[in-house]
Amino acid sequence: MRCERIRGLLDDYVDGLLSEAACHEVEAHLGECEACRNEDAELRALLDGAASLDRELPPPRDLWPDIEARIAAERKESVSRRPVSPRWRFRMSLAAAAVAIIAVAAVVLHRQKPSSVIPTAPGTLSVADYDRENDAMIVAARSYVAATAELTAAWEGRRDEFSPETQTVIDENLRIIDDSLRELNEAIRQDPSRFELRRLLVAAHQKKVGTLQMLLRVDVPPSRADWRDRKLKPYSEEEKS
Amino acid sequence: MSAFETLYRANVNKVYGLSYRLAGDALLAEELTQDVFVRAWQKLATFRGDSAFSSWLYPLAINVILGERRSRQRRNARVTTAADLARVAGPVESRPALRLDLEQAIAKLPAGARCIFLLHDVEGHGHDEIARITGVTPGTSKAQLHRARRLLREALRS
Repeated sequence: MRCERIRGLLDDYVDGLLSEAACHEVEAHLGECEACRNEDAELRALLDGAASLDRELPPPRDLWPDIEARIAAERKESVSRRPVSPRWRFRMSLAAAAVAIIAVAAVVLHRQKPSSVIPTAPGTLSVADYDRENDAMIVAARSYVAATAELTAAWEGRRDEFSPETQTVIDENLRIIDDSLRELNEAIRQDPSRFELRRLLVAAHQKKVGTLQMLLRVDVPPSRADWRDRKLKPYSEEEKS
Repeated sequence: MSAFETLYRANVNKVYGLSYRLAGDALLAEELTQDVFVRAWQKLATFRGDSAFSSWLYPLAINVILGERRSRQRRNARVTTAADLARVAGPVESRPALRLDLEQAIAKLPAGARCIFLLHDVEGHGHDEIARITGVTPGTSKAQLHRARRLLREALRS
């Protein structure tokens, strides 16, 4: 009877879900009952086996071409069926304008002389500080590359919500930031010892991530009122609002 | 290479691995993997960049796989072949026989118990998280896990 009760608790025991008192009860019993100890060992062996299974498995063929084709079909369908209200288009224009400001700021920032951007006077950093900062900059830049890839994919996923004109403006501004990143990377390649360049690179990455995040957050869909207005007002009046 | 393709390539093995184990069928796993990435594309606008892409993708993938698996199972029941199981366990010479036995035993579990076992003991999710992802209660998750472990231990003993 006691063995049955203890075995009923073993799952929670190995998962660490038992109270302290129940834990002591199980441990005391395991200390004196070989059969239950074997049960416990068998359960733990199963969990070890499960944990050792590969969580990743490559598909037998490249699935991307099929996925890409399905996405292309989705995009086509989504463009043809989704009406874009003029008010939404206006908001997108504002977003694009904000992007332009951020992009220009990024370019100006990286073209400034390093001494005007980095407030630290020469000689105030020890070699150790310098190395530590330089390493941190490298890590930060790598993190931003990963974040940018993810956000860029998200932006691609919703670009059809924007008017073609707005898409062009946004793409152009993202291109400006990318140019800045390329220039900075090239400068760092030529002079890897200058960590000011890495700071600027991180700043440029920040701008790109911030820009993409902003694009993803400007997600005020046409409200019910917008659609009600659309039905009540002639298109020409709505354009004026 | 587009950014989304980059994300696909970074995550496809994990999504396919999960699809394969949950579906127990190589062809179905391919279809499910495609479904997951197409759904991810459709919902990309809800990814805000405040977490890793994989953290956002994973619950979505489980939802798609479980939802599709349920509806497809009703349409056509397929039998998992020994070749399928050998594939998921990898080349026999590179893995202990126990691992193949375990893969086979997992594949034979009832669908609900298999799903919970995979999510909890292979993927490492807690009961609350499993409940949130799958829609079952944490109590049901615990009960299914208990059942799965019991069945697996019995299968591996024989």
